[in-house]
Amino acid sequence: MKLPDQPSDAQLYQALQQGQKEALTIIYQRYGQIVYGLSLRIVKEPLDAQDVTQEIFVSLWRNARYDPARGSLGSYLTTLTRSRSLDKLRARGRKGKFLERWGTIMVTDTTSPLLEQVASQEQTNRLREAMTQLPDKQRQALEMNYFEGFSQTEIAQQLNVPLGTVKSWSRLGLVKLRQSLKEFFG
Amino acid sequence: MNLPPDVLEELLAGYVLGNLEPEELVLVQKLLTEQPELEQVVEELQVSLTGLAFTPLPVMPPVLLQDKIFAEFDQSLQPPKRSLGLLPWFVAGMAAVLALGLGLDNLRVRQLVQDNQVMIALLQQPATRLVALQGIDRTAQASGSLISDANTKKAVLILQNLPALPLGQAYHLWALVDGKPPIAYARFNTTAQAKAVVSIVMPAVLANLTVAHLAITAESVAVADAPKGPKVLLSVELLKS
Repeated sequence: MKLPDQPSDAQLYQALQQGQKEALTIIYQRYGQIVYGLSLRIVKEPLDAQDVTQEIFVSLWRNARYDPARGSLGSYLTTLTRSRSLDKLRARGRKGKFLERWGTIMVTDTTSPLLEQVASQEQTNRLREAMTQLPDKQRQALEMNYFEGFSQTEIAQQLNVPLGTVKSWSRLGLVKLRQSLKEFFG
Repeated sequence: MNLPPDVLEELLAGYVLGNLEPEELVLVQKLLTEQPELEQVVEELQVSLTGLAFTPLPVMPPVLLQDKIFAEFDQSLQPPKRSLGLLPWFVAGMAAVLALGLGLDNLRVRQLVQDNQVMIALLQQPATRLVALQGIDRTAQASGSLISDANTKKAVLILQNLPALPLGQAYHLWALVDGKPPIAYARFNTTAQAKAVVSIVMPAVLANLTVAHLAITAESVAVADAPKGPKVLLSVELLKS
């Protein structure tokens, strides 16, 4: 099957399953920088981010578990990238209990039509801007949880504040993020 | 119950973040039952959180990385070579135990073995309990486990081969306690890959009860207060009895 001029993600994915290298080339051009940037944000170490990026792309044809009917390839790849990157952090042997950490990592392993909207460039920019406008503590609590995989208890210990305060910061921060996207939710 | 809108939204944010106190969780679950329209707010909060994955700035990966990925792709087009691998015996043993206990596929087991230090830490928790679950009837292929830690009141439900339900419907996990009606433990949906890893804060009502068995039902509503839909998985011990 020859790829059209502007192939959709679903067409590319199908071609990839049929062993077409060109499809992999285009998918990598579209998402390589996003996947690597996200992983680097989480694991910090370039070599670890490269490992994760390699694993994510290899899994695309080796596991073939992406279902185009369920959501965009971008959402699938970023969800997987975050999960694997946090796994990588865990494997580095940071102390903490397994259940606490896994609980933090896996709860958002879903896609939804709304998320497809947020994944657009305009909404992503809005979310970036909203993050910068959050009070420092609220942003820090959210980032430590989302990008560093810390439990609320660990964040409270690190910042030396009561657990309830951390919970409140992250809840308020998330409420503000939702408000910043309100017009996109309709 | 009428809470001020800002208090309500913060509670729902805590629900999405998984940081509610047990009594808050009970309250939110009750509110979601009474006011199904709140599901929309929950989804918007969830999307706001999940959208963070797109916010880091894209970074160009090293060219060598692309070469490695493409080389692996080329290799995958070759006929596969069988290999027994060189895993140390104890890691291989752990993989076998995990495969049996957690009902996981080989890839997931390999990933877990890579994290074997974490697994050892989990298995060393004195109050950790693992309950195996097996699908029945039309979902006989489904399997999984609930790992719970009575000390931290947290649990993780891991499932595979359970097809995702349409939007607005949800799987419900029920705790079966002798002499009581089924107690709502958690509700969730599986991913497009028919898998789920669900983080659960154990309901306060279960704190002093001995859970004899577990059941998972497919409910036609997002929040059910009692099991009405078909059973899809049961704890293995219940199947034997």
